[in-house]
Amino acid sequence: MAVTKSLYTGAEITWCRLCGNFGLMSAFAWAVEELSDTIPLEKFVILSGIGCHGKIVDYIDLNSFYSIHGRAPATATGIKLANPELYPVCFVGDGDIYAEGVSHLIFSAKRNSDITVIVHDNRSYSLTTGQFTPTSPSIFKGKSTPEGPPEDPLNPIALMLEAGATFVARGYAGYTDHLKELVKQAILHKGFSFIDVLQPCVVFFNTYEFYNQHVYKLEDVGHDPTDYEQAYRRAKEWDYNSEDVKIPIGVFYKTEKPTYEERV
Amino acid sequence: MEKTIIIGGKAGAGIKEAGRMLAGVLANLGYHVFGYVDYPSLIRGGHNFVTLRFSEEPVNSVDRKADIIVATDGRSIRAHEEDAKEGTVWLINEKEQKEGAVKVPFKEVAPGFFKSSSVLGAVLKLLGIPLEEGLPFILSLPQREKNERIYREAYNSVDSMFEVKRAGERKGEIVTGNESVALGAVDGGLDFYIAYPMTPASPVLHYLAKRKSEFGIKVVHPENEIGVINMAVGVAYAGKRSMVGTSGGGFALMTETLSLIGMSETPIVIYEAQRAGPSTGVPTYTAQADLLFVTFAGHGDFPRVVVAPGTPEEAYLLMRDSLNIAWRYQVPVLILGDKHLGESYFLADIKREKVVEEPKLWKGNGEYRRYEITEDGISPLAFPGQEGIVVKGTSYEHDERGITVEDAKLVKRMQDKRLKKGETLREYILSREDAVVVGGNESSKKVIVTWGSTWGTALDVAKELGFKVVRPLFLEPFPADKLREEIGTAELVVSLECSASGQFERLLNMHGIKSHRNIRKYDGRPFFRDELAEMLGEV
Ligand SMILES: Cc1ncc(C[n+]2csc(CCOP(=O)(O)OP(=O)(O)O)c2C)c(N)n1
Ligand code: SF4
Ligand SMILES: [Mg+2]
Repeated sequence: MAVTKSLYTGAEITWCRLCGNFGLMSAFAWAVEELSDTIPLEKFVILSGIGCHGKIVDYIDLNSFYSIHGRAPATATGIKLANPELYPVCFVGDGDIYAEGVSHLIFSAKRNSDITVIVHDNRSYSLTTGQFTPTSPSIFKGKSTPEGPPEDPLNPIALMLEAGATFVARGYAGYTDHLKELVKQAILHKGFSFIDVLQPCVVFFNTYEFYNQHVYKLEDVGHDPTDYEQAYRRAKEWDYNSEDVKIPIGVFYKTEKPTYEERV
Repeated sequence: MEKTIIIGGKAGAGIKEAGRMLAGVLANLGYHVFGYVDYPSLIRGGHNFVTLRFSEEPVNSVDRKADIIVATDGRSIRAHEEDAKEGTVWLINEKEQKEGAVKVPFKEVAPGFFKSSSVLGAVLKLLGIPLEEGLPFILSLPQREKNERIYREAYNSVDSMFEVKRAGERKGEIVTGNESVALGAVDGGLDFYIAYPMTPASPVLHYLAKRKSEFGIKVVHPENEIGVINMAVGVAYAGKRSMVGTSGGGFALMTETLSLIGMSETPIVIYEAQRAGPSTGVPTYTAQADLLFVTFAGHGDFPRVVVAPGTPEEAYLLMRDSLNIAWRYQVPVLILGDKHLGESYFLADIKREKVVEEPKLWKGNGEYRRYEITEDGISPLAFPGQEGIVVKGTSYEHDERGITVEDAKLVKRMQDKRLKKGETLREYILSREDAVVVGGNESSKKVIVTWGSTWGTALDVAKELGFKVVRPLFLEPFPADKLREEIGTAELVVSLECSASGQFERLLNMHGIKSHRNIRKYDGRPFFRDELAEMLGEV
């Protein structure tokens, strides 16, 4: 069991063994526990899209809204508008939010809505049995594109920096401890927080080996997350396609701006 | 005295404003007034017109043929040639030519724009109404001095040809259906109005945005209709009352979420103001052809309410009720209006009162179950943020706690719960006094069955031709028995609607109600009184 007793609903967990979602869920539950002195449990609302990732709201015993495919950030903004004391956290998929619901993602960032979006980026539509998503690389031979995607991947970190997100990070589900710290910072950040989590899918795109070899931590190279230009350069280091690269994880960018909920 | 007046001109010339001011003056003099507003989908140029009919008797529609035609430009003369009858008085722009017409200096406040004050001046004088009656309206315009000068000049340039005397006390205010919808929502406890611009629902967005502080509400304009409706869901899940407004195309984008609302049992009110489709269609014109779409929209089975007001008073009251019904039964409530109801000028006496009913709230202790199975199918509500409980809303089929299930028994159990809730809702709607509204000659054996805004014209004609008019106010749940009772043993039943394929007639048939004849209009215009009288004369 990944989450502690108090946070576990008891619902049967149906993720595949060693799925990256376990690491992600542990990191979140751990973050919530560590934050619970500052943020009472009842102030959390977790939301999800539809996909393997979405099941997380059935497993974690917090307020939740199991949304429809791609729409969780819009609902989260509604929740925050209605009750600013709540902390909405969206768990969304890469297909879910970089394809179906990309407009809501971009606009949540543009508005600086005070919500957190955590993307389970397994670079595959996994619940629908493995088609290519906006972050699948050219080598990904999905069921709908057996020869590989006829389009290049999108760089969500660069997209979010451009859209106006005030907290932009990338995590790796394999590094739970590091991810937990990112989640804590994201939730505490006032404004729109975004974490793209590299989440291996052991069935359709097992990337553990690849990430283990290629990721490095931004804090180890003295990255200054208050510097937008630097953040952008770091974001462009990996285009979600190349293989002989170093992949930065950690906080790319962080700044303060009035939130949407304050301005509406 | 009863007269029909057409005022025509370019978009931007202040034609709507002139019509509304004139309606206001007539209302102040104690007359009943109805104003039809016709404008194309453009910002400058083109041809706009307003038709006003006023009388000492109630008026709910206009005629095509006018007693007075005010043409502020040359195009208006040509456009309304066929709307003239014997004895029609023409007021035309002094630069134009027309035999027998009265020439007026339709001065404008800015070149090409805002001729409303000169129009008002000329028409009031023609009608024999004192100059002072128009002044309060003129003085509330921007650039009041310039407007007043233009108003006086136009007034003095025309001779009186009619004697419109005071007709008693003022009977109400000039309002549009959209304004009534907005006020009803506010008085039903609205917290958030969320919308993406789309004619003819946009006036509600603009009206509420302008007055949000006064009303103590928030008004939000998100990225698209899908964002709109999902944001509204979040607001309601967190315990605040939300409503969205759109037209057919925007509602189409919302339908996936309509099912989510049904499944998650979230109280949401949707105002759908119909315009002439299909697709982009004729955006600024009217229709009643989203009826079946709205009544049946969404995948899967779930209860809903569809209600169609036909007057601004009903729009106000039903809008207010809708918020309370949505929260009482935790269902989507759809207010189906149209451009004709939304944007026409009505004389209405709306008595405002805030009515915000407390929904069924969870007052228990221990474990909260969002989808608790209860006798009436309604689960007590609680909201996130309350210490010690967890509130789980969901789009998936679920158990009482809100956790996903796929087990056959559990799936059926939850469907049955929602069906039960639908039954509870149905009983309530069908027991409402106003589920079916009746007018005209109530003992007549000739019956018009209609719905929504077509009521106004039907009512005006029915009185003349001796028809009874029957109209369901609720389209879902459908008050079939009441309707059948009202139709009784009629010898002639005519279904009347603005739909090319006869959607309303099909809905009637579905509920076992047959009409002998049908009258359908589908050119984007509402039924006009003289036109409908002719059509009814033929059946
Ligand atoms: C509107 C809509 N279209 C399609 C689907 C089918 N669908 C379910 S999950 C899914 C893909 C999920 O992919 P992703 O978001 O990457 O989640 P993952 O399963 O990889 O966690 C799709 C397309 C749906 N549920 N709703
Ligand atoms: S299919 Fe992939 S993403 Fe889904 S549970 Fe299995 S490993 Fe995880
Ligand atoms: Mg995925």
